[in-house]
Amino acid sequence: MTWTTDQILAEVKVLDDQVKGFKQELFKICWYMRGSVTLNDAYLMSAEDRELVAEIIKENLDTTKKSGMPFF
Amino acid sequence: MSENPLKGYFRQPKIYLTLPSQAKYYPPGTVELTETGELPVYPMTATDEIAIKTPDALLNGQSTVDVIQSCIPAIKNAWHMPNLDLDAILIAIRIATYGEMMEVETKVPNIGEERTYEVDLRQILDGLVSNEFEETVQIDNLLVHIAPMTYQQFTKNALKTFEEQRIFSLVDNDNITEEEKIARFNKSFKKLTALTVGMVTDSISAIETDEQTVNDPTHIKEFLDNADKKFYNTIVKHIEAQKEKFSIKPLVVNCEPEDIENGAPESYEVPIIFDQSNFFAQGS
Repeated sequence: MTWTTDQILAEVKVLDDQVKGFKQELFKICWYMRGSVTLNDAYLMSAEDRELVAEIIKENLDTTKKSGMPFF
Repeated sequence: MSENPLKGYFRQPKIYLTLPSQAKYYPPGTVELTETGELPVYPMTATDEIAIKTPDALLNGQSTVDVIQSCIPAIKNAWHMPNLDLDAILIAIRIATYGEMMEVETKVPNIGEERTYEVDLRQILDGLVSNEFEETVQIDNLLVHIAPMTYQQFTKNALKTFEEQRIFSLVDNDNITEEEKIARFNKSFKKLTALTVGMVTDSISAIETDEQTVNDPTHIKEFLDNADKKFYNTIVKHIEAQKEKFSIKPLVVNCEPEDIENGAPESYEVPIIFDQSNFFAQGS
């Protein structure tokens, strides 16, 4: 380990920010999936699963925009 | 909230891994192999990805252990795995989670331009798995048996070394006298030397003489404290050679003709360094 204390603290901040961004992504999945995905389920998903769910959300949003119907 | 009964269905193994150690050196009950001797590797969950980004747990090794046990449930206690399996296990988890390719960023020597290359982690993994750990070394009439360090021993030593290096850097302080600096430096230096000797001692599992086999750690330590320099250096050299075998070789990059015209070499080596920013991050 050859980092200075400042470098270590900067890296800790980067990791903290990444974790916050990551949690936000999980909360968004739960919100957009309208309760069909619980927070517990979201925490157990793999990166590929989250990517697939994100695609479903995007498709639903696009459909909503095109049809003018409420988001389902 | 009760545990979701469907939890077991969330993930499926993405790849199967053959351990570089061939599952030797694991204490009984710490690993369960399939019929083929391989281990199923599952992708990381969001919980695992957060664990791998928790600084304190990363430093003391707990994150690594938790993630390994989550993604390779066949490893029951990752603290006891031989350290030579660590890189292969982490690469396998990386492949299972984000796929086989990983981007490596580098600057072209002499011209300083940034380039991004893709590394096939499968090839790196195959290179690690095909190596064999040589567990004996003959020194005169003694046959020394070497065992790879466990992840627990490795982490403990790394933490102690980190602490001592921190003390080392504190010695470089204008507020203390030169005498005090020298005294602290010597104390720290002695501790670091003791750590290195301790690591070598921990690596020796037994010593065979013409008459018997000695595997009592106290006797081995006492012997090493009183052995000549040649014996100690031969052991260190052997351990270093094994470490080198299981280290990841650098990527050799051939430069583009236009870069060569601008002063870049025909080819250069890019070290494959796995850190938080590239190893456990998506986007490659």
